[in-house]
Amino acid sequence: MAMRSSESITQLLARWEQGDKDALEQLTPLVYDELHRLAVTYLRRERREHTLQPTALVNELYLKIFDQQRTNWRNRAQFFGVAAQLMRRILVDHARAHRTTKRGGDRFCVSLEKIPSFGTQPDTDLLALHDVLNRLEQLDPNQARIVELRFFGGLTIEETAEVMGTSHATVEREWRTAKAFLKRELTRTTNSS
Amino acid sequence: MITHGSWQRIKEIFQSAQNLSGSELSDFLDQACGDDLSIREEVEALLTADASNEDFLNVPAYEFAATILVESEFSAGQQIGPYTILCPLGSGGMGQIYLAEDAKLQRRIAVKLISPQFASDPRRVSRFQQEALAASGLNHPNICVIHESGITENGRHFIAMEYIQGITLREQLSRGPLPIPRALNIAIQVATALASAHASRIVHRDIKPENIMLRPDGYVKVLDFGLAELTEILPQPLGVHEASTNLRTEAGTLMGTVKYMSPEQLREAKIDERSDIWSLGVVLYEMLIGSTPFEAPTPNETIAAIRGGQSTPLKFPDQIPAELVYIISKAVEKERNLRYQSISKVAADLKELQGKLQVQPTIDPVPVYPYPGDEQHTRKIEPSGIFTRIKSQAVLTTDFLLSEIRSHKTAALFTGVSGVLVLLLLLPGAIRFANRFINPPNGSQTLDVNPITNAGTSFSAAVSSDGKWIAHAEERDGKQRLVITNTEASASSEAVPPADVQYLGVSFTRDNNYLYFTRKENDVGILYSLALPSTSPVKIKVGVDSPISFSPQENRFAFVRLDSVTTEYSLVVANIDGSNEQVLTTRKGGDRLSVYGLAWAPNDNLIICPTSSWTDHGYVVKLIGIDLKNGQEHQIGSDSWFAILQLAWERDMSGLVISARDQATKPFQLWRISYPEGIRRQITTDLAEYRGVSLADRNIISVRIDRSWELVVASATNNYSDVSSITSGVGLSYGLNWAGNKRIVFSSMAQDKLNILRINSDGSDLVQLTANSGDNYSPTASADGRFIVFSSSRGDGHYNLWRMNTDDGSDLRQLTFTDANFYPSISPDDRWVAYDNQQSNKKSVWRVPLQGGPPTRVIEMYRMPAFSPDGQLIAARYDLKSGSRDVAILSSDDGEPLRNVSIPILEWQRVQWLNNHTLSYIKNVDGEANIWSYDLNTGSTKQLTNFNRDQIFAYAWSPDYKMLACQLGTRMGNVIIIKSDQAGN
Repeated sequence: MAMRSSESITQLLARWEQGDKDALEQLTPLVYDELHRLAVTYLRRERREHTLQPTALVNELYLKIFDQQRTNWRNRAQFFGVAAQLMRRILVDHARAHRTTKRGGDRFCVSLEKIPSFGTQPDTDLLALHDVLNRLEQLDPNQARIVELRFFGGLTIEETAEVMGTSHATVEREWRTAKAFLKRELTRTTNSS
Repeated sequence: MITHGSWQRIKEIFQSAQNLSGSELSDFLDQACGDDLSIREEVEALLTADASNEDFLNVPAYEFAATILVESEFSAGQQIGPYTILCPLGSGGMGQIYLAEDAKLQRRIAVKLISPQFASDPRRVSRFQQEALAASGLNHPNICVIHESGITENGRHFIAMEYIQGITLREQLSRGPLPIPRALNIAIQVATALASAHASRIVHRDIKPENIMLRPDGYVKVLDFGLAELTEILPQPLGVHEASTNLRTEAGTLMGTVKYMSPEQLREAKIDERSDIWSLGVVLYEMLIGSTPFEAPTPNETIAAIRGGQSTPLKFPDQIPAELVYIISKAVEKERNLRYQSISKVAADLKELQGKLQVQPTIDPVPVYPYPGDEQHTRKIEPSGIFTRIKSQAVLTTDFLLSEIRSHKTAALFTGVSGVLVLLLLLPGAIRFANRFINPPNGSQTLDVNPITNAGTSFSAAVSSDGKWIAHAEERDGKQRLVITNTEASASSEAVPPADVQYLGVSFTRDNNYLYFTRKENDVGILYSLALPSTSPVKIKVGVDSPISFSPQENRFAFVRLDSVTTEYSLVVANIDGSNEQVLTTRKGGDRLSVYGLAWAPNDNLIICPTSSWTDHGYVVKLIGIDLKNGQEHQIGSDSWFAILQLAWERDMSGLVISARDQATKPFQLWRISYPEGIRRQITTDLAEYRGVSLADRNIISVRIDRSWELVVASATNNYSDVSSITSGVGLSYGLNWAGNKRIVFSSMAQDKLNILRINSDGSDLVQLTANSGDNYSPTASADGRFIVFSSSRGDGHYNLWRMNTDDGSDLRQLTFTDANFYPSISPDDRWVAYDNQQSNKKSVWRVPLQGGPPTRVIEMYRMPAFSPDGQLIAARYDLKSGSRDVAILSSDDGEPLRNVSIPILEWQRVQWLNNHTLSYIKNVDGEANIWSYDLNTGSTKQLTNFNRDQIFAYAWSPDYKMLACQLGTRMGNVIIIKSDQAGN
């Protein structure tokens, strides 16, 4: 019953690239399914081999979905931008779906407390991060984009600089500021709720 | 609240302050923030956050994405409502699907968990629930039963439905269009399902190939009645039966769906049963033609084409019967009042046509494709009396056929598997479409061939002695896995996950507790055992190069080992744990023992193993019995074969069933050999191929292979992306070439013989140039396009090169007069034909004048010559000692090897020239075959095509190198069972 839709994904990416906003709506579930499938495979492999190579997961996803040979990306930046944005979208959707399932409407499920990067923030989660990132986007679109590329797209400082067409130093400075902002906002959210 | 303006200031101050501390910091903040306390507060908060922020967000999201995405999903043992999850089945358009058990009713069901994306709107969900409720009342054998819909404990919507084994019509169609009888059969079943639903006033509204399941037993099941709601666009509040698709909200529709939507559905009109009739018409059209009737590059254009005003008559190939054209045209009539008004009428018309086609034997069951054999396109130019076909012993080596096949095929489904695995798939076997799946083979009225699988990816099957279990290997994306099917429960599970290995054979122990299997890993044969129902495989023995056969007590097993260095074959028996090896017999020096199967007799007295050798009459395969007590050997029966694959004893030893071919040009069929008399009788008599034999009582399990191909052209200027199909067919095809820049010559099966055909590159003027004279293949045209040189077994059955006129096949001349001459290549000045000779197990390259004359040997040990465009060089293949193959560049003057080229080509294929310093070859990556180039100057390789297809049977560059012609192919391998009544005596 599997529905493979790499062709549709390719077409949708092309449409999205041409500025068709609706394409993202349609892309997300397709990519989600693919990513999910890959994730299951990877975890199964991990259990068997006792090694987790999460980067491979994304690499494979990129190869499968963002095959640059099949899509005419104008440039690398756009490609990574799209990938990061999609990854964000997918994770957030997933988190949102699970939030609604918990009794009392609490935020739930994609608690990131087990994740090192969120280690000190037991009450934060991906959705909260998403919300404050949206806030940052309004104040400082460049910083929000850097966060998207770094955190959701997994790019290094150097790669981010290349993609954004700016210097390492700028990216480093803006990234640090953005992180401080996000952390600050997340704390604020937690305290006030 | 921070504003955009204040943020710039906060940011600047923070960034300047972040490396300061103590009084320096407070002084700076005093100065920078002044009296603005809110700014200062924000900056300080940022600085506080920054202080403990080293690790924050430093691990990218994807590092934990896998865990996040999976942790809350369902896994085996968990409950969904009253159901216990057994395993995931896959994902559908709306979410994950699981196999689950309904403990109360003790049955297996499929549970579809709706993705949150589709269940986020309560209105949509409630409409869906209403529909699902209505649909759950439907009870029809062609409708997938919906048991219930519900909500899991953590709020996920699910649908519990009948568990259907099989593949979707979409998966089926991804392998190409269907023959008319099969398409009719499917359409009729869908139509009767719809008729039943329509009688209950339920409109499906989403009939498309994804929603039609094909079960291995031939049943067709329509899925997702009532579920269309979920994938449709979220509308303004509407009544239950109003569709909702307008162009503005198209965004929510999954791509592809619009292709099957009726004009009224796309116009937001209230839709009724007639919309399903439209969709079925579109699906039927697609089954036959391979594309939908109103297909356009984008959904919007497709919508425009469907909605657009007057219908222009749909285009159909000539071979589609007029009745079928009428039915489809009437089903996809844009004005619904002119359309069929009831699905029952559609079903009735389809059935009538089906009956007519069945009782009308003059209608060739291959009419979907412009196929040779259509008399109007056929000119039988050859006086058939001159060359009478003499039934001859096969004279080809297995190696030849292997290379011949591989050179054209090279999709290398079985790269690295020695010999016959590949042979099995690809040797001659024109398929009569009519019996591709469930219908009995032509000419044997009662043979009951039932498919166990229908995904087309199977090979190497075995059945347990009680018939309860069937194990088979299958291949996807270049990887092979082992699957076990419980035939009683109709449930399959993966026993060994996909890996880059090649399965040689599988066998069950008689107590059904263990499955043994042999597979090649990096060219090393290894035997494993697996405790059933399913545990991890245990490695038993390395150096097992064939399937095994157990002794009657199952305390020992026999196999064949091939020493690749000495090329010595040994028949070995060993204890069940692999110890205590004993060699019973050996062969070497070109003589061989079969590595494809052997059979230990139930009375423990002998082992039967096929052997091959070169004799005065050519290459011969015999069935040999080896006495286990004294080692003596004797032939079983007096027949000679061309190739024998697997063999299985009947339990009472009254006979053996084998998969074999008696001649080089016949497909592998199933035969029964009586014992001890050795009298043979053919069980299957069709043109598909049956490889492998496994017996449960007298039921035979085998794997049936059907092949089809498509001839396409593409242009260099578009990087070969503009693939257009000019003709298609089934069965074997050995080679193609351009005759000038406009015409293509190729080989194809017509009846049970290979013939040479010619077609214009725009698909027009298909002409059959040879007929009734042996097998004819490997056509190559002279540079001026006037002549075709080809290999043929016409006349005395020896394989020689012949020449004929391209226009009409006239002026036939025999160029060689020996045997085993193949692979002609004509020099650009049209003076010479270089070719490959393999007589008596020796390989060499020869040449002969195109105008006729004495042939001369160019060089020994080399094969498959190809002249460079300037005629200076010949590219040829040769065997390296290790058994791997390489390419050499020879001087065309004297055949002197100039250099060796190490291109990573695994398959035995003839390389071609793209220009004077570039070769091209077929390369297979992850189950996809494409054409690559190799630059002789730089050594760099490049992928030229992106066909996204699993096999390339043949290809050729046009003389001006502007066009590429390519035969893209598909093979279907399915496990089948032949029931005892027919299989036995």
